[in-house]
Amino acid sequence: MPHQPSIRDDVADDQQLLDAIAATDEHTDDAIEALYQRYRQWALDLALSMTRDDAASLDACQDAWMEAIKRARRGVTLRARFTTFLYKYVKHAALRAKRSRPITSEAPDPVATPSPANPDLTSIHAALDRLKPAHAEVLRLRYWHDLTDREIAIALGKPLGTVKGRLRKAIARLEEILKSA
Amino acid sequence: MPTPNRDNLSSPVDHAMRSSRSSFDPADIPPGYDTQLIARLQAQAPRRQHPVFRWAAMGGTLATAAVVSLVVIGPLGSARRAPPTVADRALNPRDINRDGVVDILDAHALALSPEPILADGTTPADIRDALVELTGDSGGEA
Repeated sequence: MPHQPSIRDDVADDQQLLDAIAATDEHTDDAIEALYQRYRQWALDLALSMTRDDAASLDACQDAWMEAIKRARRGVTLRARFTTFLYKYVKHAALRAKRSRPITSEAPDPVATPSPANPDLTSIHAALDRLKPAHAEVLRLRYWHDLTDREIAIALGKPLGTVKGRLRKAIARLEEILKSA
Repeated sequence: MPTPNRDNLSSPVDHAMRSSRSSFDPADIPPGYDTQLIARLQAQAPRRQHPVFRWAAMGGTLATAAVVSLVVIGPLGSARRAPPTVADRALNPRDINRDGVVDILDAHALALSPEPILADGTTPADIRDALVELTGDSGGEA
């Protein structure tokens, strides 16, 4: 039976790349590129879900990657998937980009643009906007960015119980909003 | 009929959230964006091969802690308490913060240790000397 890559394999693989970045040797450039290519789309999607603006997302990702690699140069030991490490850099960069580039009411919202495949997209995003930011954040991490409860806890720096509680409340509240819509 | 539980009770929300997932369209990425960013990222990586950086890369959190201690507090000076047993303190997971760096006081204790902290026999004093040589700044008097 062929070996199926597991999350643990991914973490070990990413740790090797991070170690190569910290070692600053002939493998460093390749490691940076490999890590970037592996998580480029994830970071852009995350930034877009926070800024809802293509240009701001690109700005945010530039900043986030620069900060993350700068940190990686000092040596990083992953406690979970690389996305839990990258999350805080993208989040903070996205919030900065959003503040410095206010979205006008006329600006299209690329995230919430309905499509035939996702007819409820607008209502879901509108409902998420009505949740507490901390509740919307855990829902996005769980459903859009595929993090487990434990990984969300690591990414946010919160206890696992807090994350579980927020998820439970967020799902209940979202259900109420969607039912009343 | 399945037993109702939190998951299947909330399945409409599960479905709605999963179907609302959206993605950045690669077509919206400006030409050359990745190439320029990778070049900037690579330019950030230091080409210096000074022992301090090699040790930090090799030793992970312990060497990083020693470097942080030496840079921030100053080498082997201003001890505010007797150093605890280095191995006990530095290797205690409770003392390692989210970034994997040993708590600053424990790093200080580590920096005071005469014992090698890396497998190649490197001691904190070796790192201190290399830092002084590198920066020209002792960071304080012992």
